[in-house]
Amino acid sequence: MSSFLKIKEISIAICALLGIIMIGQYYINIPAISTAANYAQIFTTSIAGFMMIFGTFTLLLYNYNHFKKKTPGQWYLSAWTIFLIVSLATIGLVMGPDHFYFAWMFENVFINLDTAMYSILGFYVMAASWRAFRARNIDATFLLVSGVLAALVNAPFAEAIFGKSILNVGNWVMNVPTMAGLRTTYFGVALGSIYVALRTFIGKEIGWMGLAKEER
Amino acid sequence: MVATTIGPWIGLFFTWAIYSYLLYKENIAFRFAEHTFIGVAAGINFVMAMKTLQGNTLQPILNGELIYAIGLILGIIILLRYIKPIKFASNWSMAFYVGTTLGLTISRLPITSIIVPLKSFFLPPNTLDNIVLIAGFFTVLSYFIFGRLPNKQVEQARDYVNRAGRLFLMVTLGAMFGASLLGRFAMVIERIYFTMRTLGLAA
Amino acid sequence: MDGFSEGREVKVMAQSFWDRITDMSPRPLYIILILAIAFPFISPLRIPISIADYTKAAYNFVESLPPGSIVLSPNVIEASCWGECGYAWIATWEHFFQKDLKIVAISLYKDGPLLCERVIDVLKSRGVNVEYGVNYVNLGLVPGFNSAIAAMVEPPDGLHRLVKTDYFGNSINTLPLMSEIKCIEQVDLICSFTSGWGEDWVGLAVIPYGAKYIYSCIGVMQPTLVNQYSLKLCIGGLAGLKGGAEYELMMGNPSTGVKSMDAISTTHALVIIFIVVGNIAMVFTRKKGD
Repeated sequence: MSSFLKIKEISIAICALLGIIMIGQYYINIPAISTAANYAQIFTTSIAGFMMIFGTFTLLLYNYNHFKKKTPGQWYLSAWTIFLIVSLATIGLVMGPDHFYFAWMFENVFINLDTAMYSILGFYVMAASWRAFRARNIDATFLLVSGVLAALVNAPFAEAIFGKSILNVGNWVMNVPTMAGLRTTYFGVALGSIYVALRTFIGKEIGWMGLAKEER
Repeated sequence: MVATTIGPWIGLFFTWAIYSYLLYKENIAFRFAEHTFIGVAAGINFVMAMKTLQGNTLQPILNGELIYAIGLILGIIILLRYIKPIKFASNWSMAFYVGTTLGLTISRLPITSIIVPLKSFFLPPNTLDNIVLIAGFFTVLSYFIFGRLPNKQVEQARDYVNRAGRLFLMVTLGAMFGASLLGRFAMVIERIYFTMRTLGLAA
Repeated sequence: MDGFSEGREVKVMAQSFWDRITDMSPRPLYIILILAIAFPFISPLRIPISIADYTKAAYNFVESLPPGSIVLSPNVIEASCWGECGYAWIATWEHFFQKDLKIVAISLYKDGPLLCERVIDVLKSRGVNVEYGVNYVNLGLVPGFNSAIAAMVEPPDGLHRLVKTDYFGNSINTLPLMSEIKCIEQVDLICSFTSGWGEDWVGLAVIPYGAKYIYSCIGVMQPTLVNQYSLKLCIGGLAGLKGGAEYELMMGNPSTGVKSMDAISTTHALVIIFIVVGNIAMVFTRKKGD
C-alpha cells in the first residue's frame, strides 16, 4: 500500500486535475466548477502560507547546523540569525506585529537593509556603464542607442537641455520598435509557458517533485 | 535636522555596513548586516505567514466552516517533507499548488499575451509606425521560433529576416535597460537621501 | 636614445592611459555616484518634470470617480522597492482619501501589510482623515499570488471566502467597509503597486470582468506599463520614482518624489557620460591595437 502511495503518478494526476479545473473555470461558466476552483485557489493560499513557514524552518535548520558544528567564521553569525528569527517570531506571534519591537525592527532595520542590499545594483550598473557598455558591433550599437534614448525619456535634464525633440524621439522608440519586440517576446514566453505547463500536466516535467534521479 | 532617535542611526549603520562591501571589501560589518537581514526577513516572513493562516484558515474552521480544514491539512502535509519515511506525501500538496498555479497561468496567457497583442499587429501598413510594428513582429517571431530552415535556398532570406528581428530585440532590450536605470538609481537615491536626512544635511 | 625608440615609448604610454581608464577600480565611480546624488539635495536644480500620458490618464480617472467609490489596492512589493513605489503609493492614496474614496488594501507579499501602515502613518501626519473600517481597511497578507487574485475576484463573494480577518485580527464582518465589497463586481478601481508584470490582474480581473486597473510599477517594468497602456489593458499607471514625482505634481503637493528627480537627472547624465567615455576609450584602444 505504501509503495502504491509513493508513485509519482498520483501527484501528476492531482496536478493535471487541478489544472483542468482552473482552465475550465476560466472558459466555461458552470457554477459547480467555479465553486470547486474557487475553493482550490483558497486552499492553494493556505499551502503557500505553509511553504513560507517551511522556508523559515529550513533556514533555522541550516543556521543551527553551522552553530552546532562551530563552523569557523560562521557559527556566531548563525547564532545571531537564529536569535533574530526566534525573537521576532515570539514577539510577533504573542504580542502581534504592531508591537513596538516588531514594528521598530521592520522600520529601522529591515527596510534599511533591504533597500541597501538591492541598491548595490545601482552601483554595479554605474561600473558596467564605464567598463562594459561598448558599441562593438551593430547589435550593441542599437542596444546602446535605444538604452540611452530610453534613459533620456526618464531624465528631466534631457528635455531641459535638448528640448522636446529628444523626448519625442525617445517616446517613439519606446512606443513603436520596443513594443514590437516586447509584445513578440511576451508572445514567445507565453507559448513557452503553455508548453511547459502542458508538459507538467502530462508528467514529462517532474523536477518540481524534487525526486532523485533513480526515483524518476 | 540631525536625527535624535537611535532608530535612524541603526539604519544608517546597517546601510553603510552593506556599502562597505562595495567601497572596501567583504568584512565583518557587511557579514553581520547580511545575517541580520536574513534573520529579520525570516522572522517577519514567519509571523506574517502564521497570522494569515491563523486568520484565514484556522479561524473559519473554529467558526464551523470545516471545508477550510482541507487547506490546513494540505499545508501541514508540506511540512512532512522533513520526515524522510513520509516525505513523499508532500508531493501531493506540491502537486495541488503547482496544478492550480499552472492552470491559472495557462488559462489567462493565451488571451493576455497571445490574442490581445496579436490583434494589435493586424494594422493597415499606411503609416511608418504601423509598418515598423508589423515588420518588428514578423522578424522577431522568425528569429525566435523558426530558427534554421532545412532548405538552403531560403537560408539567405531567413538570415536577413532573422538579422532584422535581432536588431528589433536589441532595441527592446536597450529600452528595458534604459528604463531599468530609473529603478536601480531610485533605490540608491533613497539610501543617500536617508543618510543625508539622518546626518541633518537635507530636509 | 634614437628617434625610433622614443616614438615607441610614446605609443606605449598613450595605450596604457586608455587601458588604465577602462580597467581602473570601480570605487572612484561609486564615490562619484554618491556625490552626484547628494549634490541636488544640498543645492536643488529644480529641473521641470514633464508628465507622461499614462500618469495623466490615471490621475484623470481617479478624479472622475464619485465619492464613496471602492478602490481595491493590492501590493506585491518588497520593502526594498520603497524608494521606487513608495512616493507613488503615498501620492495616490492621498488622492483617494481626498476624493472620499474607500481603500481596501491587500498584500500579496510579506512586507505589504507593514508598508500599508507606513503609508497611513505618513498620510495621518499630513492631516488626512483615515477612519479604519470605514474608509480604509488593511486585509493583511494573502500568499499565493495568482491563486489569491483569482480567489478574491470570483463572484459572488470570493473576497469574503478568501479573507476572514484583517491584518489586526478583526473579523471582516465587524468592518463596515467590508460589507460593501464581496468580490470584483463591487470594485470601482484596482490600483496595484507591484514589482511584477501586472499581467495577472489583467488576465484575472480586467479581461474577464472589465475591471478598471491602474498599474503602478517599478522602473524596470516601465516598458510593460507602456505596453499595457497602449493595448488599453490598463487605465494608466505610474512608473517608479518618476511616476510618483509626476503624481505629486498633479496633486499640487510636490514632496520627496519631486526632490529626488534632480538626483535622477544627475545619475542618468553620469551614466551617459560614462558610456560615451568608455566608448571613446574603446575606439582609442582599438586604434592603438590596429
